[in-house]
Amino acid sequence: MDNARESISGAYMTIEGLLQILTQAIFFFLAGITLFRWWRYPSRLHLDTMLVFLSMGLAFLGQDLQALFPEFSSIFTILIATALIIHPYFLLRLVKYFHPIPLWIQRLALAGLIFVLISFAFLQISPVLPLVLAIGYFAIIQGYASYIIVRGAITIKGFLGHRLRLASIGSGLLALLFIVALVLLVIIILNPSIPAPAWFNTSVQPIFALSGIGYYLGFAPPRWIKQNWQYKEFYNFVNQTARQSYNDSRLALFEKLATGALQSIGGETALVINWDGSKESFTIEVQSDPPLPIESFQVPPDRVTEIWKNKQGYLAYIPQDVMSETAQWANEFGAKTMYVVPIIGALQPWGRLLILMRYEPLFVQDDLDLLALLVTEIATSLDKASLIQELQQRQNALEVANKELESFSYSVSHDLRAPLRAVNGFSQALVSKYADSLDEQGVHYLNRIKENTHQMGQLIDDLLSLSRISRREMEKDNVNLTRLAREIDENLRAQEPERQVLFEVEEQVEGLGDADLIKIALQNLISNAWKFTSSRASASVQVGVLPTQNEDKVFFVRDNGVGFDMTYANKLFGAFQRLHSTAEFPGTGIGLAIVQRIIHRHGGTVWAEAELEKGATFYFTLGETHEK
Amino acid sequence: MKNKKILLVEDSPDDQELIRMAFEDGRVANEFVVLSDGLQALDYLFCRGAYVERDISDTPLFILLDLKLPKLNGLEVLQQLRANPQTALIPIIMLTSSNEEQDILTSYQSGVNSYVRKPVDFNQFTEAVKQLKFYWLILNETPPDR
Repeated sequence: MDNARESISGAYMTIEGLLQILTQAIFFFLAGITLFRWWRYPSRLHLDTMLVFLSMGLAFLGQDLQALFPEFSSIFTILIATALIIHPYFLLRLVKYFHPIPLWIQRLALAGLIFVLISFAFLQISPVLPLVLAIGYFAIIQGYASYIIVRGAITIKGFLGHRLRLASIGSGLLALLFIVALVLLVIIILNPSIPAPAWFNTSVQPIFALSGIGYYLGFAPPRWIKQNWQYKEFYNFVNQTARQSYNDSRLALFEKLATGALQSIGGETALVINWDGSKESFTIEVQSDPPLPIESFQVPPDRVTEIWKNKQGYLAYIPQDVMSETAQWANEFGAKTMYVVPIIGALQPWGRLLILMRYEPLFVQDDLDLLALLVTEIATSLDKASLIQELQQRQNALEVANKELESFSYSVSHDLRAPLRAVNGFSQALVSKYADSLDEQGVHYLNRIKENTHQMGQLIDDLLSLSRISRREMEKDNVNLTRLAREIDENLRAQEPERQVLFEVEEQVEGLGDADLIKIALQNLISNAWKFTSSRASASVQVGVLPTQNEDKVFFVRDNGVGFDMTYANKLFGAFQRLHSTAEFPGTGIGLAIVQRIIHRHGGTVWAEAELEKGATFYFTLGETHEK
Repeated sequence: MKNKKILLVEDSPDDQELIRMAFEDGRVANEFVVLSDGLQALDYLFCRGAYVERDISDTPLFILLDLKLPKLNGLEVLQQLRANPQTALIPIIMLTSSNEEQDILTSYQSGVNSYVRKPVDFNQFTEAVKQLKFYWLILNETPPDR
């Protein structure tokens, strides 16, 4: 500690001097930050943390003051000695937050401390014994505390583990330093002729510095290190718990959250609870092992309860004093504090995660930050799972509704035909067997009846074919529309050999779809084109694809026929909608409804452009880009 | 063969009368037995229930079987008849309003001999009956009586 004088008086450029400045800076910083925390949020935990670093800080401060005011050297020596001796006791008090320390050890440490301090009064009589006692006390208590910290660093998982691993370097190095000092001191007392080894003197400062860095990183780590730990924990959690969560039920996801949260931040028991308004109590949905022997619990109405019930609740840490009022039930199971974390998804609040702890957690903010991440992840999975479930339910409902519609249209088509057959049949019987008793007008009426039964029979058949289009299984493949159009054209030519129609089809028009269905659609569109150009001297029909890029291909069937008024374009694709009289052009008006249904089943769209007497163009897409 | 009966299983009285009429127009003189549901048809053919007194050797010339029937539908009747050796060889013509591929397919798979769709137009139906008559009464060899 003599180095202090040199460093203060200007020998900054030695490595030792620099190390000393670094060490002091670290311990002053830690003392300052923990003092501030205790002042801002007074609690036993913050007090104990503050005392650990304040004692170290005071030791270094005393050293500096000693150098500045050499005339009060002995007073500062006592300050330094007291601060150093008291440090391991404070460390022991801190250790109990993650590992229970038997009360007798705490009392023994306190008694030893007092004894050592008293022994300083005899410093003038025999300087050696109090020194040995002091260093011995320090080495034993610091060593014990460090042992627990190192053990914690190895055994404790999660966020606390990361911090303890670094803190263990801090306390472990200090303990090592003092144990070595004790051994050297004993050797020197026993054999005063042996000088203190030089390596010890030179290694004191670096060890202090390293210990300071360890403490600093463990207790006040910079943000990027914290985020790194957070990321690691979150990654582990997602890896272990949230994989394949799509198929998980709500309770399975709750269970994953409870176990995952306990692994990440520690604690006794994790529960997922929900407010049951009818019973005015909280029901426990899942809990980690070992479970509490309760299924639900009451909480006296107060501010904390309101936070719990509130749907937009916040993450909360419930410290010991509040806890004792709010959750006596938890106290019965040895829990002294707890975390309350709302699990809120985009769709709904799913519940509350409770983590019961026997000890005040060392780093509340760490835990809350991490819990927020874990809970958000699970809430997202819960949302996803419920959306998928809802989607499946809706799909099932749709399928059922579709089936019902199918069987409806099927039986309607069947049952509608029967009376029609009777009307037609008996009319026919009248015409053939009672022709003598009927005059010409009577026969005319009967024939009108028969014609209408024909018409209605046709309509029913069309309805059936429309429903058949909807029911067909689709098999998508590459379809050569050019080839299909040519086949259709040839058939039409064979049926109406007297017609002169100029048919132009683009080469290699290909689309992705069900070949049979597309053929039916093309059949309807092309035969419409034939039909509505029947009054044209030089009829022309064109089939092709529009030049577009990066979008669905737009296919078209164009004719130079009678066209239609675009005012009625919206009626074009309705079943049994006709824009021309049956006398002009025959048909029931089912064709375009079938075309539309086929295109819609492919996920495409169909529309038309036309002008009266100037022809019509029908466009359609097959929804191909959705497939990719 | 002339005095063999034609069994018509059809629930609609209108259709019963129209079919009779069509057979009369087609000059088919065989006696018609008309039953109106699937269970009756099976009782009749297996000589049980109300038909326990009936002579089981008196098998019909052929059966006109409607697809949609009360109690047991046409397909179920068809399957039971085909499963029983006594009735397995009786020619069966399925009559229906349906033109559904599935119905036709199932009927043929179940061993129907012919399938006639009842058209709306009575004239067409008369034509269909004439063809049936030609096919079943003249050309087709019915299986020998046991």
